[in-house]
Amino acid sequence: METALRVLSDAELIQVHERSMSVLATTGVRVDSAKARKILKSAGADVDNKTKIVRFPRSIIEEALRIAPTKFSLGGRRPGWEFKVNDGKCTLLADGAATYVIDGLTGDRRVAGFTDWLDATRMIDSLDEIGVYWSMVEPTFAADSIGNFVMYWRNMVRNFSKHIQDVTHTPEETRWMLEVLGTVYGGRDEVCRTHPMSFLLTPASPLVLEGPHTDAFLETVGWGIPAAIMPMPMMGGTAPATLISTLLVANCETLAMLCLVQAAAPGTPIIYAPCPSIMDPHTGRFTGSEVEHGLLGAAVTEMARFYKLPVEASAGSSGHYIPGVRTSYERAMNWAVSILAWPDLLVGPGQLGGSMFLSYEQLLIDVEIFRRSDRLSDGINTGTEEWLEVDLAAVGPGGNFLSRKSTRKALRSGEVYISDFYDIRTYEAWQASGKPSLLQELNEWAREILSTYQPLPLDPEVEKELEKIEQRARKET
Amino acid sequence: MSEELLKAMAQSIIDGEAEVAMDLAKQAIEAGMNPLDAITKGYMPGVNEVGDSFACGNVFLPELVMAGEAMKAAIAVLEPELKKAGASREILGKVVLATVEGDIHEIGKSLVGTMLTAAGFEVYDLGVNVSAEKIIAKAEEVGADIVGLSALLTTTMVRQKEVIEAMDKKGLRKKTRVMVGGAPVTTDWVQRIEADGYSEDAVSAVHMAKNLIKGS
Repeated sequence: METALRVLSDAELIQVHERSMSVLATTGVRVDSAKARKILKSAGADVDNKTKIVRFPRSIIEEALRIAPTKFSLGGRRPGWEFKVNDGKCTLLADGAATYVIDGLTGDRRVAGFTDWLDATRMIDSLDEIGVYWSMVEPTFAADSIGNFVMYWRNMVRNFSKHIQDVTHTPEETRWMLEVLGTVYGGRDEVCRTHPMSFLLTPASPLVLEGPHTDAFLETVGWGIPAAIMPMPMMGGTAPATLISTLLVANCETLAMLCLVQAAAPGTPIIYAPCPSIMDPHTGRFTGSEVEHGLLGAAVTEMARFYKLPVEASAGSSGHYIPGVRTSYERAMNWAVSILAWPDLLVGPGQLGGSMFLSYEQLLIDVEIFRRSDRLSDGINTGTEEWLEVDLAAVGPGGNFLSRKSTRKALRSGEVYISDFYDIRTYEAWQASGKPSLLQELNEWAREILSTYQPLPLDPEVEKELEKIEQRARKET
Repeated sequence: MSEELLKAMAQSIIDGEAEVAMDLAKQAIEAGMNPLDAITKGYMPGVNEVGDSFACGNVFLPELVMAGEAMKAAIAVLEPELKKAGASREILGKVVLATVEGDIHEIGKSLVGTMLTAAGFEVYDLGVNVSAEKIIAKAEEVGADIVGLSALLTTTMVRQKEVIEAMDKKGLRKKTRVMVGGAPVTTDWVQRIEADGYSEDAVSAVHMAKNLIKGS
């Protein structure tokens, strides 16, 4: 059977839901966008425009949950690439917004710039396990002007051909983004149908739907762009100091935003993506090292399944700065627990230092951890052909199974995961080759990918159109 | 002077009990204790002990914050008495803090404020989404030694630069140093906008502020 893990019982999931209903109806949520408050008022919410507090009757929340689609696909421009949600599969979503790139061998860091962003984008495009784009380093170069914002998008779609998840900061940016999407993916109807992009919405904890990003999302209404709702309450900092109360805050914020999205555009696909986290008690920072992030990633997945919504789970990061022993055991434990709860998307490989440092070596380690965790989730196959009693009888006591056809078939079936990381050399051969560490090998592997990988080119006509859009953006704004 | 009362004052800080700290301050005033002695011989040993334990990793940040809040509560009671007596406690410097306009993220900035207050700075926390004009007006009004600017987003980080440019125009930079902070802030950014300092967390912010005061 497939391996499945539960961290909350059915009764506990119902409690999270019921207590969320109560918080949303009594304490409510502050909604900073006047447009959003108007939409919510029309939907029947109790809106106080002076305090900006919105309280949600149960009926609005239940209706929003009822009309949010449970089955849809995330698309991309790569031929044949499609990710069906709620379909028993999991893909990685690259971790985002690092401000530095760290050299895993020297431990030196540098401020991430445009070239680093471009390299990271190509790198994640090259790795099949990563299905969804996030900007791995903070694209500060895109914030200077609308022209640079369009340039960022132009390079993004040129260098990444699977699904894109990103955010805009103003309605104006959204309008330019939609023009780029329409140009690349064949117009508004096709964007609506294939969902090549999802919009990351991040309520500010505790219990605030902030203004600019909410307004920026509302500008997409009519394009059917899925909303990934990711509040990030931090236990003891921006959420009360227990795991379950942090989950409760995250669920309330997600449901509040879900109500807004469904009221603004009924039937918009939703990805349940809350990222409850734990504050480092010594510094107050997010490091993501705590093993409880694995429990929270699993709990979020279980809540999403309770609502029948697709889920984007997060399972921490690592507070350490260079890839190695600590970063790997932290990631492996947290991811294994989260993946065994079966999310659709898992955030996110490749970052360290509380997700502020991009590491290519760690990115490759994380892909390996994902493969292994994914294998764990497949469990032990117990189909009728798997028992091999005939072989056992044929070999009998004292023999071996090396030359059995069933052995060859089993080894090629994928039941045992064979890692690219395994070193099949003898100790002497490894010593003779200079005793390379895995980190050195990963560093070389990453360099090789970066120097050789060619992303799927855009149609030349699309390239020309994008160039025109960028020129116009620079001229008009 | 009651040794017992002084010990209880220190303990109220160590325990992070603001109400107890306040009650003890009132008792001290009623008993005629010199308010400066209450601060320096009563509460400060508690602050120092918590600070040392925090530096060793034996005290967590929320406990340090609670100690800071307790100290603030005690000072709120004792400071008017000090003024009546024509005395004042030693202030390391005056700091105006704000999260810049367009940004509503608060926790990092508030943590820095609490840490600075506990360390002996006089902090004017203007809150979130604060315009450059308001920040500069407050800095001028109180004669700030340091202005601290927080931003969590790349889109709002540029406001840090705007505040610094406006301060330059007014000729305030000679007296007032600028510290910046927030997740997207890097060493490059600090150099580009010609800020005087930055730190990656609230604890380092106190060291940075002390260094800026020493260097000015």
